[in-house]
Amino acid sequence: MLRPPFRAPENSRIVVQMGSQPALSVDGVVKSFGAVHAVDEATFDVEVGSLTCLIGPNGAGKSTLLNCVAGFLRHDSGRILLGADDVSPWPSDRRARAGLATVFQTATPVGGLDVLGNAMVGCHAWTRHGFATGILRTPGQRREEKEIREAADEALELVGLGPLAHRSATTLPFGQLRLLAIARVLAQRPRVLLLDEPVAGLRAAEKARMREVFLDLKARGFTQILVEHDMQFVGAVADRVLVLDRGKLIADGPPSVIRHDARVIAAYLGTATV
Amino acid sequence: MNAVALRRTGRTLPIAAAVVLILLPWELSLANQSLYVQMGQYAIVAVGLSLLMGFAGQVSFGQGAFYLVGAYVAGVLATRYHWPTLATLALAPVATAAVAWVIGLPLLRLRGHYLAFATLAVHLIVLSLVFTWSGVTGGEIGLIGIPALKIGSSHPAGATYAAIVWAAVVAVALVSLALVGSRAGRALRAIAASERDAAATGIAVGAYKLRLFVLSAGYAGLAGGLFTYQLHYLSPDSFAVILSVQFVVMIAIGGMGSVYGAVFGAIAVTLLRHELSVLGTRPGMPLQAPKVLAIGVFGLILTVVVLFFPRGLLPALGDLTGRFRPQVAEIAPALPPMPVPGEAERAAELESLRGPTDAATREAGD
Repeated sequence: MLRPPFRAPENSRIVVQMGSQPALSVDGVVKSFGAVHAVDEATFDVEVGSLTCLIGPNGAGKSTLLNCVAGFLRHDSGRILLGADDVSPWPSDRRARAGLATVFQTATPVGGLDVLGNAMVGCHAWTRHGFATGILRTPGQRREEKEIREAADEALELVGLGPLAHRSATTLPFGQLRLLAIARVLAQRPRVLLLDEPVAGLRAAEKARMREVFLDLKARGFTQILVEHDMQFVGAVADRVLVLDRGKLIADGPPSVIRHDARVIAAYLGTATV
Repeated sequence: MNAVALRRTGRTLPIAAAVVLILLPWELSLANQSLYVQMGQYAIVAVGLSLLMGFAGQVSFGQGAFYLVGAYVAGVLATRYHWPTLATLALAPVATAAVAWVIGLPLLRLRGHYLAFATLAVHLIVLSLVFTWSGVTGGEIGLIGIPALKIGSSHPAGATYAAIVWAAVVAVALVSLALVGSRAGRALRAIAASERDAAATGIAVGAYKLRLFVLSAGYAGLAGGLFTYQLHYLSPDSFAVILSVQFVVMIAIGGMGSVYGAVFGAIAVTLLRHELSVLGTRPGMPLQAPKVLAIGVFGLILTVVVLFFPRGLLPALGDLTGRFRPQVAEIAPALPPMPVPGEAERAAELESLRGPTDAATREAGD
């Protein structure tokens, strides 16, 4: 069964001790563009196995924060820790290999590959055979390919795309492309999943399907962080909600509490902060 | 058709084609044999360039330079240093790949227009090196007295030499297809689809692009080595800049990221070039006619293809008929966006994929 790895993959000497240490720590992260503090001293920990939603009005800095965590933007100061590793100086691909998986809103399918092949791309993070052994088809390479195929199959089953494994990925409808992007990062065997507005633009039935997927992943122990606009969806899946406004973290708690938080209401309605 | 049957027919056809291509020289006239050898050499270069353009999204106008490097490495070592010819042929791709690695490190930070111009500049630099370093290369006069290729105790020539060249084409195609179907191939496809998503999957985008650049240069170096032992004479005239343009035209015709398409493009363009030079040297034609015709026609083809068939001419025809559609041709969804002025910022933004930098500001705005 597909579960998050208990051992940190390559590059890391640390064995993740479930429960004893946050899966991800954001510690005083600042990111400015010129005079604008897009992210201003953000500090929070994410528990292993939790589903955290990051919300905030437009321009609050959610995507900037996500990009800083994923490694596509370098933050000005502060630290980002994956388990016990300070990943701040690492480029995005190294962070991905260390177990940080990111799904962007505009996840592009890989052309020329079927659905299964797209999921197999995700396995890149924990496999190692390169140009030479790939060309020579060594026994080790074949073994690894088999392992990759199995892991990708499993990831597709998990999001319900198993029956479509051999369809061309580029022909999938929008909602299934989103699921495929999730399957691809699951094949990555991630420790932490970062998802940028995973239900944006989806229809009600697709949202319901997505909700099932996220709850299933939570049940399997995956750590998930969602940047999300859809408050109804957030209420349905989140353990915890972090609210960002003008780069600052203004609230932190379960959805039921956040919904009634005066500062959050003020931030969304655009009135002065209480 | 079920999967097994598909795989079986999918294999029979290329194997039959390979056998025909290797045995064909014995059916050709002497003049056609030398044209056929040229097709093979160009096909080797084109396959590498097709992968580079289709997978890494890099347009290189420098493949002619690598072809030159391979040719001169083999020629100089065999002629001036009396190395065994077969060893020089084996070293040609390796040395060329090494050169590509060194210049690829800084060069691959560029994209689109910039990379195209930089690779073109590489071609010009390499050419001027050949002229200046005349003590070794023979300069303007050329390198003469290159020994014949010796394999065992025989000196393959004529049809046998053509068969060797086409066997090399088949080998290069096999290597490329194996690469495309492997983990590295998937990673390269992912890079072609979206560099950001590829990096988010743990793919070291820059390193993969560099490796592909080096591999494609290695192919060109091998083709160059084969050129050396075809004519036994090397002159800078054989490596004018039009050669690099010609390779890009082959990909424009055959489609990017397609191994079979590249071979097809190489054959088509070589034939076209031949017909143009026949036309250009007819009595009454001005002296410059062959050159002008080639430049004009290639320019026209490039323009038309980029404007109307961004995936390449052959894939577009395949779409039209819905029949002939080489599977590998699907790799590249479209030509890599040739950044128009004003898109420079976007290109800079993409640069951020090399690591966390501040360039990706566009992604950041909520």
